[in-house]
Amino acid sequence: MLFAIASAGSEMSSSLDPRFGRAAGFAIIDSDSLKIIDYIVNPNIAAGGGAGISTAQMLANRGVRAVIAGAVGPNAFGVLSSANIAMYSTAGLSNLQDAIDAFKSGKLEAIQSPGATGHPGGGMGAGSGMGRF
Amino acid sequence: MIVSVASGKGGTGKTTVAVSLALAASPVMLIDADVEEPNANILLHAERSTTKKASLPFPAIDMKKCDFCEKCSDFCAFNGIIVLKGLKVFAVPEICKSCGGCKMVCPQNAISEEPRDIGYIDFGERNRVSFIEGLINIGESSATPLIRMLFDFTDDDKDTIVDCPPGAAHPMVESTKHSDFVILVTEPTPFGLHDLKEALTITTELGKKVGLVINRADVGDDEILKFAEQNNIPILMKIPYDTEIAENYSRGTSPAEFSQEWRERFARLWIKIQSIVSPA
Repeated sequence: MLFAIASAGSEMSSSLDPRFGRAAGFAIIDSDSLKIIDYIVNPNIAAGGGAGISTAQMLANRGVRAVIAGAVGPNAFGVLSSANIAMYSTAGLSNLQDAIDAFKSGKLEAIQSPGATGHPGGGMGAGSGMGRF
Repeated sequence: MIVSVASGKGGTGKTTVAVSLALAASPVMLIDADVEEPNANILLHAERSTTKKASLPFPAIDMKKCDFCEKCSDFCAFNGIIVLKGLKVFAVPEICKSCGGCKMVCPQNAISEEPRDIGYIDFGERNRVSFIEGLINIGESSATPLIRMLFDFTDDDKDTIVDCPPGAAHPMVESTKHSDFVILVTEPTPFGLHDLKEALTITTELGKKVGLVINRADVGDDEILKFAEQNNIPILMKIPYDTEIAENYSRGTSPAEFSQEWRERFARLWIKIQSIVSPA
């Protein structure tokens, strides 16, 4: 199976990205070989809105079965759950090698609930309370 | 004639001015367009007669027709519709703008629209003031569509006063864009002036006639007065920092209600605005 790790780059030493929807990109790992088989630059970094769900859709349609990320917002959490994609936390891990080792040894912690909520993106300014007070 | 009562800053006295003006100028219609926290009726005390549900069209997907082509999700600039290949397709209520674009681009005609409730519109009446207020459901990401709907109920034969939401963003634009005149309520503080300038960027862009009501006019500094003079903005009324007004407000009574003098002042304010909008 394939799993995705939010990371700044595609080297084993690349640091993990604490974001999900607006992560720099995702290393795609094959769980059998534990090798990085692909790196997807995230097209949703500067999305006007819905970055999390769009990123979740992209990873689901890429066929990944698990995601390792910092926090996953409520909308993305819903999409990943719908697609039966497991979510694990990067808490305490620093780079791709760490995350892959943690996967191998079964030490990854599952993300049980949505974390940070969505952020209106570049210049959209559509938050309900914007401009009040 | 439609007169909107707006301000950049919250808490300047928009609702006090809007309700007092409505009572003094009746028969009129009063629209509370601050749909995130409508409070005009705390001062107006209209009896609600009717409540309507407000809804927007929302995509419904017929999975028997869908072939997961992703044209809908590619089209949606807001990522409001999600295609999980072979699994399911769904629209996200917090994100969908109800534009209908996904329905249009679907080659399989798998997308139809069904109403999604976003809030309520209440109707009421008191002392010949016809009252309409919107109340958006908690969690809705945008107040603007509901504000837009409120203006479907204006009556060409009746003057309308609009109590606007604070700020200088989409909701303020939506609640002032139909107006013949915008009253900007401000206060003589640096915050008041700063947010007044913000609000003016909108009214200027919209090409609206404006005038100022300065609330708590005898406190703070005189920067608002200087600014108004430099920019030729008429000062229509000054309301002092007055214990009687504050006490009555705290009990839900507007100046036009407890004081004949204030009622007459607001009646004169209305006549002044009429003369600016339609010079004789």
